[in-house]
Amino acid sequence: MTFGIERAGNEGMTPVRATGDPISLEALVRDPVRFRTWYDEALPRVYRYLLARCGDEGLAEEITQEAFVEAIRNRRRFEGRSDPVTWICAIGRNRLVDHVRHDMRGAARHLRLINARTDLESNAWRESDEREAVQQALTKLLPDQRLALMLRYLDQLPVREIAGLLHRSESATESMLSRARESFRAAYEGQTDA
Amino acid sequence: MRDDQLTQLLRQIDEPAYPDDAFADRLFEKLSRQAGYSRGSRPMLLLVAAALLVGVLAVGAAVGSGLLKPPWLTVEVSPAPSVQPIASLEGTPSAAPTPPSTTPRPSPNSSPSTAGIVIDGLARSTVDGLTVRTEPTTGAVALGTIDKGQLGFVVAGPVSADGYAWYQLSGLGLPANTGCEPPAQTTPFAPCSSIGLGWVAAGPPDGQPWLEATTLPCPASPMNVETLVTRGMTPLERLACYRSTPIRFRAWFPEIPPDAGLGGTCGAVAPNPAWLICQGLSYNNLVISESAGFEGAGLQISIDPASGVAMPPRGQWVEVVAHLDDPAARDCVPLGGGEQDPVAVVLTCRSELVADSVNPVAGPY
Repeated sequence: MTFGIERAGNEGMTPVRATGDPISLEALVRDPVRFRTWYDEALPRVYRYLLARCGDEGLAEEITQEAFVEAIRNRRRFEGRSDPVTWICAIGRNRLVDHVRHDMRGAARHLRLINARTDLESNAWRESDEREAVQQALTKLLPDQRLALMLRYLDQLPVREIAGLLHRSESATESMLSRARESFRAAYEGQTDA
Repeated sequence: MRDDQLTQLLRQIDEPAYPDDAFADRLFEKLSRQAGYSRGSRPMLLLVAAALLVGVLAVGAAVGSGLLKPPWLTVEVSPAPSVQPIASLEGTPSAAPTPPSTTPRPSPNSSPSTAGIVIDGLARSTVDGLTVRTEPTTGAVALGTIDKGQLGFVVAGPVSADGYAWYQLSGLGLPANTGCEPPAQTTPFAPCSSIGLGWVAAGPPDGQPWLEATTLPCPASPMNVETLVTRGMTPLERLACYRSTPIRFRAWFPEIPPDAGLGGTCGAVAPNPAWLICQGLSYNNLVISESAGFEGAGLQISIDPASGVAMPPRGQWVEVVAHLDDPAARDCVPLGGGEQDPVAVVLTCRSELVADSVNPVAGPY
């Protein structure tokens, strides 16, 4: 079995190992030198995955730490059928969903702070590339909207699975995704038209 | 903006990113401590844990099969011992780190079984640490455990193998087949929103059963939809309660707000039966009150186009007669692009409410 997130987690990422050989996390941990090498490659991949989906460096670090700790604590249960990084990304994704679902008020407050900071610091965005316009547009979304948008269009998860993760009905999730799309489109096109 | 354009745009921010060096170092130190690099006490702890395990096996406790794992036995031991099942008649139990060498041959519907457990009913664990496996054999991969009191919807069984009667359970504390929360919530499993599947041994032939049949209170018709959704009933609990028996309830059929922005598709190829698999796109949400709103608490109902049932105008109370376990559910197949278990897909369809009639009424019961 694989996660939709695993496919997405691998997109654009350099595999830790080029072959399809299973990696034993337990064996890695037993060898401090190999473990350090693996960690140095794995950490940016997990962090990148989470940062793209939440847009908050502090939160991405917090959840990256939780995901790694959880993975190492339970390393003997990892069966090596996939890249350990995709497994850790999956743990991180679930932690992120929990965070967004259970802390929407705090997350919304945090989002406002991010928006304020971004507005102040991004005077030069008009001169930047499309990627920065995308990042700027995403800051206009609520945390759950951003996450749902990412799960749908970056991770390509089906709506039913996103609805399950967010504990919403499918139609409510479709509705939220539609609002997220519209908000993103308005924010993005508003910037690129300017 | 088309979906593929949106995907292309979002991919641009999935770019290499590096956390702060100090954070990276702190986390590595934390993981190193977790891995036990910095001191030598762990091997002694492991020896003590292993000795404890062997001692328990020696007194013949009925936990040596690997099926029953009380929390004190799930102490992390490296390498994790894999014990021979007591019921395997292999002789003295050992802590050899290899799975049983013989391949079990499950024989459907053979004894031993546990009285009262029926397919489409509910079963409850009577012990903590009851192992859930991918197949009905002690040699199968352990997905995790369930604790005393945790429920499962009985999908299949009994299958006799390795001296145990096995039942396939789903939902209600079991994991999604995609590994709902790997691995933090598998010992025991936390309830997942998705339908999961796993095989559980019902106990040794002559000992205390580890699984027992159980039921839940099933609200009787007629009722308001609030009764169905606010008592915490999951779709599988509803299926166990009512199966295909019609349910009569009243609910508010909400207006669709102008900014609801409905849309979406149901897979690249229209599935069969689409009206049941993609019922989320019909927007037949029924909610608990006028004030609940379009996305409020409630249920969705599906309508078989061949039934002639039609929804009345929105913005009023309706009385619905509906059933679960529609025969068309047996034809549900996974949508393309995912790796869904076909059994779970059928279960999902079986637990959808299918309308027999929907009529306007003045208000709730």
